[in-house]
This record gives sequence, C-alpha cells and structure tokens, in this order.
Amino acid sequence: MFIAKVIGNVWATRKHPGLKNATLLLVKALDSRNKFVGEAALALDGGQGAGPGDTVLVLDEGGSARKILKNPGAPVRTVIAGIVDRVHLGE
Amino acid sequence: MRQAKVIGRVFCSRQCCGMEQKTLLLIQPLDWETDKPSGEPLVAGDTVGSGAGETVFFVASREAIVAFEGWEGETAVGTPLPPVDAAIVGIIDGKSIPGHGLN
Repeated sequence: MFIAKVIGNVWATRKHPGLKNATLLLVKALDSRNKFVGEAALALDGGQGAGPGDTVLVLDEGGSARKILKNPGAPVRTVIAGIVDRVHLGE
Repeated sequence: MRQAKVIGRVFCSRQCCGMEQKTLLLIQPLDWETDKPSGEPLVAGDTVGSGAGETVFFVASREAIVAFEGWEGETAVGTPLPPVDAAIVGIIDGKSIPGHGLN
C-alpha cells in the first residue's frame, strides 16, 4: 500500500460492468516528506467516501482490491483502502 | 489505471487461442494531469467498444484478463480467456483535477 493524495476525479458512463457505480478518483503518491512522487493514477473509492484533497491509503493489488470492493468480477488493482488522519515519523 | 488515447486498431489473421473475437486497439498512454504521452504505445483488448480518437482508461497485468472473465457483452461467456496484459475498461467523459500541483 502507499500513501497518496486525492487530486481529482474522473467520470465515465461507458465502463466495464465490474466497475458499475464505482467512484473513480485520481490519486498521486506522497513520499515521507509529503511531497508528490511519480505519476497520478486512477483508483476506485473503497467505500470510505474519500474526495479531492484527502490523504488516503491506496492498495495496488488485484486480489485484495476485489475483496474490498466485494466484487470478484472487478477488473481493478488500485483501490482506496482508508483515509489517513495522521502519519507519525519515528525520528 | 492509466489514461490513454486510442490511436489505432490491430488486426491479426492468425493469433493465439481466445483472442479471435476480441477487438485489439493500439493505445498511447497519457499522463493524467498533463494529457501528454507517457511511455510507448501498446495494444490492449477492448471491453467497452471504444473507437479511434477516444480517451479511455485501461488496466494492466492480471486485471486485464479479469476484465474478460464471465462477461456477457461482446464476447460469448465460455469462450477461452484471451491472453492479454492490457484491457480498456472505460471511456472517459470528463475529469476534474482541483488538486493539481497542490502540495
């Protein structure tokens, strides 16, 4: 899993049946100093109601993604697993 | 999932098992924020009937085959699964990126 910020959302009426009524959110990974890293990716909301501006925990593995979505037919690998309140760094 | 633009279609008279009825589209991955090409074009199986010029999003690796599993749409259920590693799963109507560069 990685920590990311929700930077926007995407809407698409014509999509795969496995993605029916899924909320599509654009996320961008954050490093430990809260700086953006890499390219944005499209993730599915995992039911926690995350929106643009939230810092979230993103899961990037198909099997667990389908578990969160409770949908064995969802062709998805990137799902938001939680909304991060605080990150405490050890140093 | 990544954004891409459909730039062409691929026709094969002889191809591997399970790919016969599948539409193979040539797509150019695009960066979500800048819409600039990002990476090399690739061939993806199509599950939503997208056409040339449309902006789509696609899944890669194992999820591409999941996109074809048990799906009644264009291909009859029960046909062998296509050995694809990229599948288009949606056509983008619009996007909004308020958090662009927000940091």
